Amino acid sequence: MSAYITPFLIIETALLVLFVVVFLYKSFKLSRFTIETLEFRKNYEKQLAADKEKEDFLAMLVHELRSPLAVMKGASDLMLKDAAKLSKEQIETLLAQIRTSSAGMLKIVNDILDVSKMDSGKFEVSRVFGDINKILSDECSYYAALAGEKQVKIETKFDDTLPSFNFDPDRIRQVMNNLLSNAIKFAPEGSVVTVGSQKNQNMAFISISDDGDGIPDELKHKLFHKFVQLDGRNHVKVGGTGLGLVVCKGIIETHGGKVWIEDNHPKGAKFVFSIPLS
Amino acid sequence: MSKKILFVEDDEGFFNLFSAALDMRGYSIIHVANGSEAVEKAKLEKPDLVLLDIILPGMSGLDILKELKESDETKGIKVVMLTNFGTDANVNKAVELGSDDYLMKYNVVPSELPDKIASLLGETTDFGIKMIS
Repeated sequence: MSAYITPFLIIETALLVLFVVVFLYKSFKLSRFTIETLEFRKNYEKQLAADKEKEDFLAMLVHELRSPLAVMKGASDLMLKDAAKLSKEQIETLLAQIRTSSAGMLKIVNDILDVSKMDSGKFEVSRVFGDINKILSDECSYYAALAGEKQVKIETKFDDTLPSFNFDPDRIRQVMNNLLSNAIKFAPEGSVVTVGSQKNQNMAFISISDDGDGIPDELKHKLFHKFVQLDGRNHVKVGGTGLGLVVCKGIIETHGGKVWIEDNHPKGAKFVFSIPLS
Repeated sequence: MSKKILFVEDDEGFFNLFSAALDMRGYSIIHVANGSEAVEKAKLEKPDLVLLDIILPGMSGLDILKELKESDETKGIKVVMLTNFGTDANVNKAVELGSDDYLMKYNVVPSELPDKIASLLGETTDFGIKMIS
């Protein structure tokens, strides 16, 4: 009897082992396929989200360029057609508006060119030996009138021990224009915007702080990146092109420094950038 | 007495442009740049017409339109949407909420805007002379 059972047992066992092996192999293949499918889906969704951000960004950029163009065209049409009916003040307002709109467009176009150069690694700064406190002081004086319109006061806390060093004065002015105008824009009426400088080891630290609503943590890391999605869910306006901060980051990093956002105490936002004293 | 227009617009450029055209034709303009102040201003000033942008700081134009049309104090005021945001969904929404017209800023010829306003307010124009019907 056992002589019959043994070959059967061996065959059955072999078949069972074979079945288990095939089952495990198929399970392994299936699980790999599932993981690959999930990864593909995740990447695909990521790509879709990135494409959507780019699409929204381009739509916003077109809007930001189209609006001043439409205003310039409309203002010149109106003056050409109805010059006799417009008062001297109205003509002056329209001409000033054409100047403001064209300056705004020029800034956007310059930002786009700068970002494009930064992306291709062709962006450069022209360093000259100079006093950065002097640049900061000039910028604060320049923006005092704009701040005054909102009853915002600009205070300065400059470190007198900060030595002169090599940096690109025009580009640092550009950074300050962006950060200071933003701070004034978001500062509540009657509040103070503080511009400070500090020497720490071989670095200069420059800060611009306001007493506004501050910047939510989830936005802090996104603000210096391109294609920052504007929150248009409720059709409530929240900002411009966002390229200004991208350019600031590029300028500071080309100097070998860093730029970041901190919470200002007791409230508001504090933009800080560092530059090596080289 | 000149007709009063509440112009809710945060873009200084468009405000300066269209208000010059309206002012030239004798309309009195009240400006509000922040959406959250629009409804209160409409209740206070009782304008003949509201020119309303959609994308605004503080509160969206569609929400303002809804509040204006729901309030007994302001539901009789004509509202014209003047925006760059011309999707079908927004136009339909604005019409559903009771807007009297929907104009795209890019397409409006500034010197022709007063004619559109006059027509909505039941005024007629003849060679630039405004007649109150």
